[in-house]
Amino acid sequence: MTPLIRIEKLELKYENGRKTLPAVGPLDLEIRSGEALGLIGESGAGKSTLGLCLLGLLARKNGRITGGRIVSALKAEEIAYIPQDPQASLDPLCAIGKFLNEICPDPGKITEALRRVRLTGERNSLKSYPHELSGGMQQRLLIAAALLRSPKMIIADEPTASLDMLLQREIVRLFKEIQNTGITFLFISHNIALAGTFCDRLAIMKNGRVVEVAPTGEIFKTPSQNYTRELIDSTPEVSRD
Amino acid sequence: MKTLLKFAFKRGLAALPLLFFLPFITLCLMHAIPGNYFDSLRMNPQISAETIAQYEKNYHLGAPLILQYGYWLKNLLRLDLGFSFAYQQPVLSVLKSRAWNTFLLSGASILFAWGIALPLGLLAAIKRNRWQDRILRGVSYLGLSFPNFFLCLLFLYLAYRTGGLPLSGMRSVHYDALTWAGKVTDIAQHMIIPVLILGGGSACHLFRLMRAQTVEVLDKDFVLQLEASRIPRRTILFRHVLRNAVNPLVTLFGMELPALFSGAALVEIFTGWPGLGQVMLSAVRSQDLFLVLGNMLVISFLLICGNLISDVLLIGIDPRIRAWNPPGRSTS
Amino acid sequence: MKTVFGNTKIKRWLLPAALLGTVFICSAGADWLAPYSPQAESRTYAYHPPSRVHFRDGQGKLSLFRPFVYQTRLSFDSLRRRHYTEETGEKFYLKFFGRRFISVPEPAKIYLLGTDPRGRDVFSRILFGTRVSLAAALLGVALATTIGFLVGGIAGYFGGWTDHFLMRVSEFFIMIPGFYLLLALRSTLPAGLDSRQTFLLIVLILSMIGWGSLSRVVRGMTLSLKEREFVAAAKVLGRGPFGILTRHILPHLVSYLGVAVSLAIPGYILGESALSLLGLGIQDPDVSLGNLLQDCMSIPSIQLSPWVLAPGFWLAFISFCFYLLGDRIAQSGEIQ
Repeated sequence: MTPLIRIEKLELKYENGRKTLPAVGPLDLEIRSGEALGLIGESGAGKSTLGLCLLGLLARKNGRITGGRIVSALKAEEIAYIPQDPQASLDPLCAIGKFLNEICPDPGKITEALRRVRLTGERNSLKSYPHELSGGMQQRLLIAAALLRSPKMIIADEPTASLDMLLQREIVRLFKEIQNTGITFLFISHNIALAGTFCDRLAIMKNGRVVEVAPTGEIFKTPSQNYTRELIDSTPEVSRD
Repeated sequence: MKTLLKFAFKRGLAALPLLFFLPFITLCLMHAIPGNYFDSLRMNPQISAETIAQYEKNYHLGAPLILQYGYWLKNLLRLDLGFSFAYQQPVLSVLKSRAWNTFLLSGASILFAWGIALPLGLLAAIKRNRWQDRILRGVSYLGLSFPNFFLCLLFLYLAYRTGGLPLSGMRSVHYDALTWAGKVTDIAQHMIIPVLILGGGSACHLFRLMRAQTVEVLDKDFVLQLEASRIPRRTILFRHVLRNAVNPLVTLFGMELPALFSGAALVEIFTGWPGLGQVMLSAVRSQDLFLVLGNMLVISFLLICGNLISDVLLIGIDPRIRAWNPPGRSTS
Repeated sequence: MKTVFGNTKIKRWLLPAALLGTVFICSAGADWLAPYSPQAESRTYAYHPPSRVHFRDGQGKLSLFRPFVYQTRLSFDSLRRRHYTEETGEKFYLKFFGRRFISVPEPAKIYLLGTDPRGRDVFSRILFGTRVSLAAALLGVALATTIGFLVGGIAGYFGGWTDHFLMRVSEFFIMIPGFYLLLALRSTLPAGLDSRQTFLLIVLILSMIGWGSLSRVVRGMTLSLKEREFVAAAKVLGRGPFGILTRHILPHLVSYLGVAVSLAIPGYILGESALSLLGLGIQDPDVSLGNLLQDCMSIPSIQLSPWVLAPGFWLAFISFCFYLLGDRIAQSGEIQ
């Protein structure tokens, strides 16, 4: 099966004034069609940077590709993004209905997307503003926004970081549903156990490089790297559904 | 709509102390300054002894501070702001027309300033640190550095040399003979230099604020999300970034007004625009107490109106404010 | 918080430091730098254009290191207009670093920026005027900053009722349209107030107008810093509130305040200048940059002697320097 995206010896750097900070590289990774790939690592390992790069948004944070290449069967527009901090990722002055309308002007599709993330009912009227929604609702709104674009792939960057445990499980369940409709997932997280409940494969990142990549079961049973073992041991157990 | 009115009323009520504060503080300071006000009045040859005696009687000018203020307030309720030496008219009638002129000038300047500063600020922020930004920032600093009275003198001199624009005042000599359209054009012509200077200075200041705010907004996460959602760049810029960047500027609008009026006063004086600033100057020069106090009152009133407008605008723009009431302007 | 000490860092400060340094030297060293006393009138040299300094004599010989001027003579043409013609007989060489920075032997004159209608050297007057205007502005700012700092610090630190009350008070003061208040107060002053008293009064009024916004800045910073750990640690160590204010919060405020102050100074200078220009501030015979511009108030004056506009440009330059300084301080704050 040819991979959806193949990353070869990719090197990414950030430019801050006169200084250049290496963020990622050299990195090799494959993302296969229809899978849920977990990208695990500590803060600063370069996971988000990689995600932004795949979206083509690296330049916004003053980043550049300085080496290697990405061979992708997807156009950047076919990839959707679910961010880490839902509160900060919504325009506070924009009604959510308007926001969704800008992404896709079809009211039918909007209702459908909201239904899929189970954001329906009076309280979730399209005229409401982000600050009137709870954290969980905001996150689900962003997922709906992602779905509206009928993407072939979704990159979720620590989507559960600011949510409580119950909500985390709900979101992950939602992701599974979405994945079952054929959408590829790149699930970025620092929580290996949580990712383990959802992802088919896990890629462990450290200092900008991939140190291990394998199907989830294998990783948990026989992690080949010490670092992986540390990660597994350090996160609290989350039961597999 | 009803909530808006209620809100406006509440704010108006809260602002009442401010209305009376300015004249009060003027009076306080006048009393605190060494030297008897009466003596300086007496030294003024234009004011006869009888007038002074009459004033002492009617307006209690010799009474202690609080009483004086009390009497002034009482007269205020009867809409009697006293009598002006300099203009030989009741203060109220002097101020009425002048207030409108100042309002016209200030209003035009505000429109001009915002019309220029917002788009340019946006542009400078987008092209941050590139040549457009550098030039705009440099120009704005230059604009801020030149004292507006000096610019008045310069501009008037240039106008004199080129013979293009009228040199002073608000209306030409033959104003009354003009048609309606002619009258409008005439006033507009007289307004060009003052508005350019007053609005220009304000624009420089606004530009810097707008640029700073836009830069902040552009770095925010939600802009990243909007881009990730592949919303066209144009929409992001003008529907989202602009609104968020302007938000704090509207909040600050009320605070900018005193500076605007101060600037307007100077410009009025130097371009001969018959507004409250000019009146203030002649009131000062002729030591016309009631005119001074009345003027301060009218200025406070205009300030409060301006603040009210800005509060209302803010409610219209920012939905978060509607959730709690009144908006906390004390928080920065 | 330590920034890398490299070439770029120093370079950024070089320009504002140099420019402001020039301004301060001009005002402080006016006595020596100015060729003439600011009050020295000379009816025979009224409306004199800036002196032409020659580096090449009549025969075309270069005299680069010994520049000189000619004496000028006044004559009136048929339209009663003034003309100053040079008398190319005797050369009067410029003397540097003597009793004055630049001077020429009598009877020649070195009017670097010409003279005003009363024959006073504009250049000298600008130097002395800078001193007065700058002093008024700096004193005013110092006073306003002190008040603002106290009020804002107290409000931010104690919070609650104190905060609310103090902020309402500051709001009132911010709302004062400065110029109107200046005028209003001026209206009550007895005519015979001497220059020194007027000066102090202006300073006082200016600071009264200005402390409001500064206090809000300070309050905002205090609020955000109050919650930080080191304040809690200091509390544990038993420092009183005043100690905490000055020892811990102060250093962080410096950068923020630095910007606010730098950007406020031009406003004070302009306020004083405007007053003096209108004849309500510093008056003759004392010099301030404001009343220097009085000669520009009439268009014929400007026509006859455009060099009287010089103080205005100098004012703009000084303001620009302070804005530049504020900008640089803000930039260095950003990087942190």
